[in-house]
Amino acid sequence: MASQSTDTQGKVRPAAILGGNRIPFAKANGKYAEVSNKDMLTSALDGLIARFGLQGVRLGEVAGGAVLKHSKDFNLTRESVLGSALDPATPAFDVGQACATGLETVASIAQKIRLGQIDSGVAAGVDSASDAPIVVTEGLRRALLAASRAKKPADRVRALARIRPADLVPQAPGTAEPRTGLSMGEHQALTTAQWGISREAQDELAARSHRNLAAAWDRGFFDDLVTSYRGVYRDTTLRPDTSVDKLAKLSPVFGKSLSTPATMTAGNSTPLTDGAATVLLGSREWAAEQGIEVLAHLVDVEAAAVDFVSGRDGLLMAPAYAVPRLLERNGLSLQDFDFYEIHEAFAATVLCHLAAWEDESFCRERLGLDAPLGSIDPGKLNVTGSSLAAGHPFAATGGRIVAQTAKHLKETGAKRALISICAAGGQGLAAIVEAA
Amino acid sequence: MAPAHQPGPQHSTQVLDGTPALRRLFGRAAVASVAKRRAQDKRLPASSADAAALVPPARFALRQVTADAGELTRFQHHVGESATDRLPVSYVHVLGFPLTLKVMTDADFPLPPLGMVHTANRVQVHRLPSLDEPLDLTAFTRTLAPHRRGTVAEIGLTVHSGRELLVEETSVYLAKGVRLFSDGGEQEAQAEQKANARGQSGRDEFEPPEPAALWRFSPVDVRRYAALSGDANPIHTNPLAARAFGFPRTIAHGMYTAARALALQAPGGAGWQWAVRFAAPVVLPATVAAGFAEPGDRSGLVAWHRRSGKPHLWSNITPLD
Repeated sequence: MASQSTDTQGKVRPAAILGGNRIPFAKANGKYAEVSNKDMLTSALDGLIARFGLQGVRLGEVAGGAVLKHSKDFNLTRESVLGSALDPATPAFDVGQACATGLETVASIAQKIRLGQIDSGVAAGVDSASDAPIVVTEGLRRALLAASRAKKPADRVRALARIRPADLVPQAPGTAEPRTGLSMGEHQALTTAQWGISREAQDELAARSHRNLAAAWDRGFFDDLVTSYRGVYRDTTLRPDTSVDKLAKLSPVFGKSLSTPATMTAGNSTPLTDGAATVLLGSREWAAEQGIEVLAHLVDVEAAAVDFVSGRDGLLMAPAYAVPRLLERNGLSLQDFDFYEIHEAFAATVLCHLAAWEDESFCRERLGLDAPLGSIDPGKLNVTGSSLAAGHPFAATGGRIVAQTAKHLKETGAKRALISICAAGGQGLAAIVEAA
Repeated sequence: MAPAHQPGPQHSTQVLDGTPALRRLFGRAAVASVAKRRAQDKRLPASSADAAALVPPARFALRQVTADAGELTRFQHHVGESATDRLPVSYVHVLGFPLTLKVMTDADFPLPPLGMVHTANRVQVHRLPSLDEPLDLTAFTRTLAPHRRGTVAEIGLTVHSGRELLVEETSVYLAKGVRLFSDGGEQEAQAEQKANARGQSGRDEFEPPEPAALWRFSPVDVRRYAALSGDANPIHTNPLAARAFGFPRTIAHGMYTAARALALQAPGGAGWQWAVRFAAPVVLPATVAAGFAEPGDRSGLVAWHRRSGKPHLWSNITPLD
């Protein structure tokens, strides 16, 4: 985006991040167990609308998405807009890029604003691990489909007669990669071992995430970023009183069959979570017309993907590639940022990315750089807490991070922040946010 | 047809009207197996120098075979392939399987077909057939050879589209304890020892690489593979039959595991070969781990039992010679 030249519409203009609203994230099968993605997304949208006085306003477009999605929710975002207080003439579209969905909706809306196609928009994401689609077995599904295709009753009976008892067991979605059958945790455990990330470092990062998020809640940082929902006022996975000592007592859950000691626990991995998040974006002119203060600008975005199937790279290592490409295009070094928001899928994921950027041979051989990107100040990393503490409703995480980052830049008067999010399928997305 | 596989004047190719009924072939296999084991007990072992003379000349062919789109789709999904119009070479094996069985149940075939163990499979792919392409398939006995533990038969399968040779497959089967030859097993045993020394099949010193994938095999999965592939050998579906052949429970088809390996390896481009070597059978139910010898390179895959670490198969993709 940064290197884009002007086009027929005139100059590319900045896309401003104006604010955000999310519902508190709740542990799966907890307070939001019976609500749907549409319910949560509509609620998060309505909170945003109320905060910025957008009732009845026709926005340029709303982009949203969910990773675990029912087939009936093919138009999830549009249905949520129709259920919200926005002008029903506001168009919407659904996006899917696994855990990068939320950040990709921000990128899509920002692009359209930059190009002058729209003046305002909402980027959103939602996920429910509780209200997940239950799928019937392949055997039952095939038999039912064959029966529905049958023209004669006898054919229908024949099709249904093929159903076996084992076909009647429902299939819940897992977090296994479709192509490898390994869970995301098992994939990360391989990468963790490969980079030699210690248990202590992971627990330390997890404890800091809880500490930072708790501090941010306590000082009212989330007062204008979160609206309570279903009797939940704070993220329910947050444990303000956790410590490295407490985390050290947990037993490992991933990587137990590897030759190296298992280091990944429920404490340094993100829990399955339900939640929704939204971000309001607009041109500076539109913001001025509405009397909304600009928090920051989305400057540029870069996506990357890795070949994890062959084991060349770890499943969640794509951000290690996206970030250096983004830096190069924008003429920045890794140290040119005041804050870093690296999504904590697992504590080890963040530590692997940092280790890769410090590693000379990785930077030379894989990234084609003359020198390592170097290290970052851990005091600038995920300073208002991240997914280990807040939880990670897959598609909602991008919106949470962008709104949090923009507000934190505004609040501190700092200049620039880097965001990166890893995603299933060996993908990753990175973005630069700058002060207005 | 390519010159190398042109049926010589001594060969008689029997063109079948349609795909032989597999159930009947398996029935015949059972009867033939008993008869042949009895006959073998009486027959004097031949010298391995005469092996070529023992190879039955019969060839069986199917002309203008087209894959059924529905069956292909179900097979592709079951083994982890995308349902494209290109036939995975694992499905070419399925199309040729009735002919392979016909070869092995023929009266002149000297080994008892039931209980033969699929030990290896080699395929040369010049071009993958497509769904709408009528194929000519021919199966025949390529070689018979002595083995340390019995006798090995290599069954050949060629697939043509018109005059164009698309695929050549060699399926290697071992008839355990059946001695057609009075000599020759020693060389084979030596070769195996050498291979072990090179660490290619040494079960004792097998060190699994990092797992790249996990495959779960349940009896239901395997029953479905049996239905989709037509390989209704009862050792895969019937616990009693499996026990009768010395397995604790039913086992997965070797080609099922191999097909999953191939799907993960996803070879592309024109002209490649696929060599699979089977080790321990996959006793059901099982979780099988698969990994690559070289990280970043999908051409060399090994699959092993996740818990015991015993290797199940090696699957290698290389460019055509």
